[in-house]
Amino acid sequence: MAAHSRHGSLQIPLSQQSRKVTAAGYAGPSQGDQHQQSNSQHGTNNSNFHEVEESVLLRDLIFVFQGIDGKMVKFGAESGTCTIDPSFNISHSTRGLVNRLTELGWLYKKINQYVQKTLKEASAGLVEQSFCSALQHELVDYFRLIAVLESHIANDADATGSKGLTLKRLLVWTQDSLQRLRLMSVLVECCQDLQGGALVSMVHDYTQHGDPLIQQFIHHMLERISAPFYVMLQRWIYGGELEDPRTEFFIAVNPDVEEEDMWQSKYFIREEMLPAFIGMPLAKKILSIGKSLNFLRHKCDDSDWILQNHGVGKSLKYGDIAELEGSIDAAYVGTSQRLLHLLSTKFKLIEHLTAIKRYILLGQGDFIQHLMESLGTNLSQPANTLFRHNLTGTLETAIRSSNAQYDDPDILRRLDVRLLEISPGDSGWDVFSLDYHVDSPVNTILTPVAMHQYLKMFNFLWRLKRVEHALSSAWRRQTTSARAIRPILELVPELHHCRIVCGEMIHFVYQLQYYILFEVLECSWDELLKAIENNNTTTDLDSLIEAHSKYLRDVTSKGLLAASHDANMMPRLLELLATILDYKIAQDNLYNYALAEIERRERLAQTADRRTRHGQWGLTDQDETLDRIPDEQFEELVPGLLRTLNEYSMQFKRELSQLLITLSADGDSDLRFLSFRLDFNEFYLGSLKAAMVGGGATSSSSVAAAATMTGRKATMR
Amino acid sequence: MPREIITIQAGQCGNQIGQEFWAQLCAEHGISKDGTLEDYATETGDRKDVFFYQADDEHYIPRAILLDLEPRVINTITSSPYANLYNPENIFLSKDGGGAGNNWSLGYGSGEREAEEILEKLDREADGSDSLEGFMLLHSIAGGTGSGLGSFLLERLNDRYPKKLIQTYSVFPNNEEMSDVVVQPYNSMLSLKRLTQNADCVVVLDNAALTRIACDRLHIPNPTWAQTNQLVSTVMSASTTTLRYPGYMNNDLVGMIASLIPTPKCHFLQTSYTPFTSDGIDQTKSVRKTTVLDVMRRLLQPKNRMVSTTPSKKSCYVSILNIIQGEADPTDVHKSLLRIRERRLASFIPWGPASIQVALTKKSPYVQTPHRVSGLMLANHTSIASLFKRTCDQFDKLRKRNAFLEPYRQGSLFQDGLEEFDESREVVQDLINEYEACENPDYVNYGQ
Repeated sequence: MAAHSRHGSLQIPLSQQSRKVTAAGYAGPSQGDQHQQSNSQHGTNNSNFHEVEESVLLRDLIFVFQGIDGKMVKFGAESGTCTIDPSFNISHSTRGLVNRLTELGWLYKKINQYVQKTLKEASAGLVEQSFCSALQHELVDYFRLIAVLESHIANDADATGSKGLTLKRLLVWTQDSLQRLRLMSVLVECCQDLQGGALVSMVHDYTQHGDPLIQQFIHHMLERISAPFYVMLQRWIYGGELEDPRTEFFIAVNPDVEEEDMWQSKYFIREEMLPAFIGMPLAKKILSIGKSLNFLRHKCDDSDWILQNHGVGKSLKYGDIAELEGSIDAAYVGTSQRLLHLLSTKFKLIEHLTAIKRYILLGQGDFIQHLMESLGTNLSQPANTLFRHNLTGTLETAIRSSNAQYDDPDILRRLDVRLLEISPGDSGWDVFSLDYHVDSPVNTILTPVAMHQYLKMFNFLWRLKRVEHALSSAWRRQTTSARAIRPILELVPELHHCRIVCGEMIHFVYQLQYYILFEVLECSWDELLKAIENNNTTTDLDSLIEAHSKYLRDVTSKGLLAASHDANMMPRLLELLATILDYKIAQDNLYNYALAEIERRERLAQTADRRTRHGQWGLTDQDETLDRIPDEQFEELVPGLLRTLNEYSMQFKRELSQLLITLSADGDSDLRFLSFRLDFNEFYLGSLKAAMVGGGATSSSSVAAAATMTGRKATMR
Repeated sequence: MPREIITIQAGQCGNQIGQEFWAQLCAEHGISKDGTLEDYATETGDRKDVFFYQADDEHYIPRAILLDLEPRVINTITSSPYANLYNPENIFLSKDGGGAGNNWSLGYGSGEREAEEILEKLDREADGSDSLEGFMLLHSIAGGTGSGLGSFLLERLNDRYPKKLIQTYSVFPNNEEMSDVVVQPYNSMLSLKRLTQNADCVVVLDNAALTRIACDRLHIPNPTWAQTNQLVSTVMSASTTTLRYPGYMNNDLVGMIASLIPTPKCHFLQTSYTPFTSDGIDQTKSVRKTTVLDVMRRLLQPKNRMVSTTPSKKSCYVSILNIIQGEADPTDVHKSLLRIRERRLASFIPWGPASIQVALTKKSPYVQTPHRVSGLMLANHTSIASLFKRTCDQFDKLRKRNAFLEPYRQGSLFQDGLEEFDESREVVQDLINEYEACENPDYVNYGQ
């Protein structure tokens, strides 16, 4: 009973239906009265005034049961309900009985009409057709009953006297059929205009009926109705074929989709066609199976496997959902594993990902270093003077002379140089990019959009590397020329200062890179590999794609500091990097000057030597000094050089402390960690605090910033 | 275009360390004792060409120059299984073979005499490299050859290759106890001047600490030279891993030491290594599950440091580079750094930003080690000055009495007097002063 009330919706159409039937067809007292009246009015006209025999009525009813007008009982033209010719003398109770029996005919007619109409329609779907055939199949039983009844009537006529079949008996004997026909007519009513999966769903709703007989009946019907659906399902999950001329299946195809978007958007689920007994998760699995099969066939050239595998699938039919799920799971696991296996072996997915990490994300340090060195001077030129073929040549050399040479030739041939769009004033640095070509089927994972993200990341990392490279060469210069320029005493404090500022910059750039390396690249990479290797998380291509896009998202959002709420973070950082490059150039100028000065002194010393040997004075008044920077240089040239250096170093410090303040106040924990790394020994925090104590010169904002920096650090622990 | 490094090993100690170093590198790169590639060496993640070059016949030959004034150690090498590894043309043995007799002056003098031949070898080796990064000198500073000849070479290398970097691995004497070489402080002082003025990066190792580590960590009661030298070679191979296994960062010498050495004079680095294992000893063979945090914490402990210094309250790190080898989890680095700062396990300079840099590198696939993770710390720490101070004290005691000076007078540098001694003493004092200044916030204005 619980089932009954739970599925009240089911009860409603039935009872509504029967009420309608009641009102229209039989036993209505008012209608009965009418008949009675008309009977008495026309009664006089009728020659056979005696009561009509039951056997005649029975014969009439047999016609009516088949949807044909009898002598006395006829179908009304409009309502479709039966009326008994009032001119016949039929008792009131008999009329009632007959009226009740005519319902069968009415139901039959309605069902039959639907069947005939649908079968005639050219657009009828396969499921609809099978619905009709199921109905017809049931009607065969019904005809058998009629045949039996008819033979009874005939027998009765032969053996006079024996009252074999009576109206009352007929009523009892047709009860089962009546119930079936009612149910069928309800189904016909509900399923008008429904197609495919939706129709199956609708019928399936009735399996929830509390009455086991009805349940069984519907179940029986469903087996037939859903047959075409299961054929489609079977072809889809074992062959990846979508044979659905009337678009009845719950998976549909979008024929306009481009080749590379095949996986993502060629096939999709139409929820309205999803049979109720297939849940969404299962539907997604089914979609994935067929997609995978198609992917295997069209992208991976693996039709052989599909053919081999085709026979493995068992035939599916309506019934045990658990069994269906089992078959689908098996097919799902089999197909997905095959696809993932092919991707990682034949199509070298992991190798491609590794290559991107090594080349586009600069993991192969010696290669990148070589590239940087041999391109350095080229890239400083205006962007429009760059030629791609020159750059490709350099790329080749960089590959050959680094450990990249041992990489798979198939990987290396995909590595390429690309020049981004040139905007006026760009230098080579702005437009140069490495590129990595992927083709089908790997481009389903490494989509053009994803590759674009990678290139963005390359651009940033490459800039950062350039700054590191510049600082390295600055450091090398400082170190190797330190001995030579030691004699210029005037510059000793300045050069010392240079070293310290440079050290600060090196510290900044190194720490930023360590952050990107460990916090961003390596950690995310680790996660990606774990996700790919783990069969529980990566079950099909979809989850693989998801794992990769998560990796890419992590890398770009953390690496490009995009996690911040502050959109200026990245521009600010780039500004800072530009300042470092400016500083490096200024420092080069100072060293150039210092070396020139040393050269001058050496030349002068040699001249003096020569003169002395010739018995002259070594140095004359016209000569400059040996141990001092000449006055005019000391007053103009040198202060100018130092001023520029100082300006850039101040700018660097200003920009850096601004960046640190924003970073440490950011809501994102990774960015706060970056600020922690950049100021590991709390040097900047210390100077901010000192400024806070000093008050005066600094604005209140930096005081507040220092406070937040301390606060954040406390909470971070 | 590898950034090649030419190794110069001078004197008894230098050659012994070198011998171990090359054996270690061969093992790590899968190079057999005669220089051919082992069949199993199929991995391609390593760069052999930084330290080796390939002869025509597929032999890998170390970019090494072996110098000594007496034949004992070099003979050991040339009669060892590794005899055919080295280029015989790169071996220099003084003709008289008498050695330097623990006299810096004699070592320096033979350098001057034999300069042509030695420099010819160096030039040939330098010509053989595409983009030479620099030189690596292995020596001890206490004896005669490594210190004297080594000093001579440092000066000459500066003149000859002004744009190349010079790194040294210098073994300092055990100056905690009296040595059998009484003139050790003289030799040390004269070498220290060159290390200060002519080298760009000095990795300081001292015998006192090496012996201590061998005793405590490896449980060897009386470590032999070979055993302590093995410690040195472990440190050397670890500190060159980022050069030999290129990764995202620290792929050349500059990339490694630029952040360690912000100001030129303070270029003396200390090392720590953990965990140590020695082939001959079984106690340490048990496999331990070391984590990155364990390693990074232990690296900061004085007992793992390979230099005996006495830090003062103000002593601090100028910078730290940890090279972690093995299966390290990158997320552990983050945690370890947080922990180290939270517990204030290391104090840093007050005049600029400084931090612990971490480089994760692969372990050689051909060498089995019982530890999952091992680490080397290269650190620039101001306490190194205490080592120099001790050397100065011992020097001053001898110098005050003008003891044992006679043998030095034979050298060309001392023919006109002993100013060289005092000048060296001054240079080292300057160095000590600068390291001390480094502990103060106003170091930024140092020298004004």
